[in-house]
Amino acid sequence: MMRTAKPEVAAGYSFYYSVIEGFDDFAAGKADTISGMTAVDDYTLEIKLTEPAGDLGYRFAMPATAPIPPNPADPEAPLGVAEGHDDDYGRFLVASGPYMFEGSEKLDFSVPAKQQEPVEGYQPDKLISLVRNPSWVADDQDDLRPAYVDAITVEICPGCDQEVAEEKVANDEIDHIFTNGVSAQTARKFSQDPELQDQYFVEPGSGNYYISMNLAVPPFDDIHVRKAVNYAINKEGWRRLSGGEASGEIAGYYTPPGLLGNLLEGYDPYETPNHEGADSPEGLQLAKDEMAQSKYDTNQDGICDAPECKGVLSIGVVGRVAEAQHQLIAQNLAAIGIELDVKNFDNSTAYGKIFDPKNHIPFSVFAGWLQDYPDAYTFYFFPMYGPSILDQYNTNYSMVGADPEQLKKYGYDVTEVPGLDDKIEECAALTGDERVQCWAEAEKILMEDVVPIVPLIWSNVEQIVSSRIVNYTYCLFDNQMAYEQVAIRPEAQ
Amino acid sequence: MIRYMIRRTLFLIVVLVVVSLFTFLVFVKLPAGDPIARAVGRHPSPELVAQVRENFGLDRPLWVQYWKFASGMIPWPGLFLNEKVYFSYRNQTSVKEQILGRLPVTIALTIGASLLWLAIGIPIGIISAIRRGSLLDRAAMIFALIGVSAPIFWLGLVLLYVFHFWLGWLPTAGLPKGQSVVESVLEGYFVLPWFSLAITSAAFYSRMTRGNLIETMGEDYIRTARAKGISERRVIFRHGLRAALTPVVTMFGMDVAFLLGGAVITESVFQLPGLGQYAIVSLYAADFPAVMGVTLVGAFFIVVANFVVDILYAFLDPRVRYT
Repeated sequence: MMRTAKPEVAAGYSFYYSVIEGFDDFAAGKADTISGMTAVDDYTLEIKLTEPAGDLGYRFAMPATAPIPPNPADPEAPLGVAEGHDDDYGRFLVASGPYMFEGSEKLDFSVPAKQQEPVEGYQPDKLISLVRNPSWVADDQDDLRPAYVDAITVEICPGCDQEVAEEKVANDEIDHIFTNGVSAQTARKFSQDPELQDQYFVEPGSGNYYISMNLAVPPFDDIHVRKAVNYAINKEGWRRLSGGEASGEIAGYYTPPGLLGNLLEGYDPYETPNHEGADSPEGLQLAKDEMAQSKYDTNQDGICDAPECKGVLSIGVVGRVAEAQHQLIAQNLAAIGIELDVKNFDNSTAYGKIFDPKNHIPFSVFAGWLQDYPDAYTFYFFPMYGPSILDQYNTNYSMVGADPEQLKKYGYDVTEVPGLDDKIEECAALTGDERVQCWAEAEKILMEDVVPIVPLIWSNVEQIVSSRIVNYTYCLFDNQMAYEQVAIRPEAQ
Repeated sequence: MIRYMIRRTLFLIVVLVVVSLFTFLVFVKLPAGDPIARAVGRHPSPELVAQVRENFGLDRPLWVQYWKFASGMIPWPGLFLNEKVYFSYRNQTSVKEQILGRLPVTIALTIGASLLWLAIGIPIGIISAIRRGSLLDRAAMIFALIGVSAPIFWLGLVLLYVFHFWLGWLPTAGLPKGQSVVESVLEGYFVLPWFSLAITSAAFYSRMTRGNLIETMGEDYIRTARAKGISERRVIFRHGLRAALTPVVTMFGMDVAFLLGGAVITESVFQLPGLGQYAIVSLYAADFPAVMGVTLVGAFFIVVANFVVDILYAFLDPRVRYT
């Protein structure tokens, strides 16, 4: 934890641990230790928090909190064997689980950090080779990690042709591809070929795609406009362009259902026939009825006629599918009088624009969110919580919960926007079923009282494995095959 | 000759400085991606953003930033691709280590492919030229047309599917774990990548050789050589080919240098961890120290190849003299 807090390490997720008493003081150099963490004995760590955090267990399951042993050659080193490895501890990592990097036994921490040789089992961008960790003793009572396979070799090949890798899986040359999804062609092949069907899995991806509307920019400062937009979007068409059903489940709300304990099954406040939005006559009428209640529809005919609805800047990303989806959205909104000024950029540029709250981007069509751990907090804390709005790299694109001071600071004319900060704080403090129930309630507030987004799909992850794999298991924490659960068919060894 | 070499060396340095300046401006100061955004993760505090900016040296004056990169190109211990500047924040390793680790793969790919395309392209070009209009010439030119027209990514995939996934005659894409590049070469892991690259280039070289040789064989000095009673074989290989190959050498030098900078598509299709793959991934990730490093190394190969080709001219073409 001290390493995570250390400014020089610049750990990207340290904010999750700010709730620990003394963490921020240590990070700021005002204290030598983190006062809220005490090792009571060899097996007990006592944590004192400054505010309730019902998901603390998940936060401590993230890699940032992995234990780092003391350096046998220098027991006083504050960061143990990670001392001197602010930038590159990954290649000198001491494992605490059933597997370790191949060659870890050769790590020599008795020499200064700069003279140490990294493990051969981790070569960035090339290879991860894991072998059994001889120091790990399986607890007979603990079946969490059976760790059947003796070794795991991951060839890292960023930018390489994915279809070649997929063919290697079909050919049993490799067992799995560590990536998000497979190509449409391979998905078809595996799902339709009787011999390959057992090797194809469609799993919930714990992520979503949505359209973001800026609550502080007209015409989206009017909830009726936002609701009308929700009715108007043809989600089925959007999904079809994405690759169809395998790409995800059409979303009636924001947070993936699994994180809400499936309590909101069937809930979709803006449902239209076949999810076709304004492309169906009933959907178009629902959207018009909502728009007619807006101040921007002066003659209440269901078509926005105010100048605020003309030339609304809409940011998207380049790419055949993304651009087609953007056009579909523009066409749907035109049916209720909102004329989008469609602009597509490369990913980095597009994010650069929406990251800055001073840019006043009214509408963006490429937003998506992915859990850090399986709790709805990770979906709410960043994009939906007023105090999380940042001057730079802001991900609350809709400015949900922005207070008048923030709106003034970023130059908005609108002085008030809705939010659900109190509810988020309430849910964050709870645990267990109460917590899940609270997030489900928050979801309804978000979708009915705030309405900053149009949920599109909850994404799926398609997985293919070789015929050698048995006991295929999916890990919901990191959305990949659970390597510590699978085994190799005996006859294939 | 020595004066010429000194002048060319100075010119080489100027070219590298210009390339480094452009690379710095394009990839570091006007990047399409925001390297800070990539590095800070979600929800970065202003302090974290400032820390990362400092770590990357982006808080320093422009000329200081440039000098830090430019000094990394000076071939001197402690300066050349020094880790303080040329450090990839994407995978937390030194750029030099990555480049040196990947260079053998790219060199193996380049040498093998270039020898192959010379071995295929030049003989076909010669045969086509001396048997002009024959069936052999037409067949060779059809091969050349197909080779020139076939995109490498397509050709690579076709070769891989036919010779590995269907017939199983040649090894798969990628290199085996723990095996040296030499061992991989000996086990045939480079055969398909070599052929993918060589077929396209061989087509170019055969057309070029054919055209040049036909033109050269019509020169007066060739007629003189024949009039002196020299054998036709000697006329072709000693007098005709020598002159005809001069432009081929220029092209060869440039092609080899270009490949040494990374064969992006071939490395991608055949999953070869070479410089091209490193360049493209670094570019996507806005990992500018890596982009700077690999671009400058690529530029270095090209200017050196140019230099070597110019020197070779004197040996190939007796009309060329350096002053």
